[in-house]
Amino acid sequence: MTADAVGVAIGTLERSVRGPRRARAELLREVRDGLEDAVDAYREAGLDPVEARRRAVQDFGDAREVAAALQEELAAGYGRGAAARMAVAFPALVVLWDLVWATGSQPGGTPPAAGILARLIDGLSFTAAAACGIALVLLWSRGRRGVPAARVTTGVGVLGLCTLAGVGGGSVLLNVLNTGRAASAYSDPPAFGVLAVTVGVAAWLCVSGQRCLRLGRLARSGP
Amino acid sequence: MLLAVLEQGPLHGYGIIEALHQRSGGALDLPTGTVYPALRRLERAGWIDGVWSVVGGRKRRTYTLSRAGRRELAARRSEWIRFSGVVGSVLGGTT
Repeated sequence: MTADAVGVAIGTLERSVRGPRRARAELLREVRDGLEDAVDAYREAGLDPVEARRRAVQDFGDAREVAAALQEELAAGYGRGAAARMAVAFPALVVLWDLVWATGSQPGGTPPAAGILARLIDGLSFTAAAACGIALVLLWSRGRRGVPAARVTTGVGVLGLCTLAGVGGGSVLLNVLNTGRAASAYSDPPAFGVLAVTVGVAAWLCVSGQRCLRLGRLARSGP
Repeated sequence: MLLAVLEQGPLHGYGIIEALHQRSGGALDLPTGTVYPALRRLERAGWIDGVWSVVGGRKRRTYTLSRAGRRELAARRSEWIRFSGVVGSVLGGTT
């Protein structure tokens, strides 16, 4: 018994294409439907079922090359979402923490070194957000000009993870330099809530960054 | 070319492939599998909009040319007419 040609082609795509579950499933479903439409058209033209399926797959082309092109689109789609999340989340966290420090009742002043470090962290967050905004534009409208989506998605991943490491490390150091005010601040429920939100958002962005790296690498590895 | 076939109205993936084949008189013989990622790229660029809908009793992703896509198509068409005119003039002059 010969293997079903359409099943073999779809199997190749399913094994090769990786990405967010829903987007991947929709993409594969669309391709599978298209192949079935082609089979139906050949059947209507009078071919027997096996020959109709063989011709449909022959017209389809090399499934590995199609998988590589689909992989790039999945990477681009994910990279765009991740860049949007980071462009919003990094400045939002800065604003949230500025509010905590501005409205809290922490005693004492801020040491000069802590002030400089805080500005550096803010600067890093806003710069990363601006870079993510540029990546977003590249992956969206500049997709029109053949910008390599896989590389931009990888760039978003690297940027996100480096920013998280920089901001995270800087924030820990900031609390060490400013121990008195920090200890007082975290005893307030609102500040503790912001800390919990920060940890959650950081974990979410960390996962996004790692997925960007993985999808970018898969898309760049080709057929 | 994908934008041009969508100018007449919404189509799903295989409908676009058939329209390309018919409009080229069968001369365009590109691998049909390449059409699907190309459609996603055009959608990402904002030139077409894709939605899932039921066509002929089956759920399919249907594409429509967007306003930005119509502008892009008009620009590409003008570019092509100008380019083919130049090439035609040059080739015509040598025969």
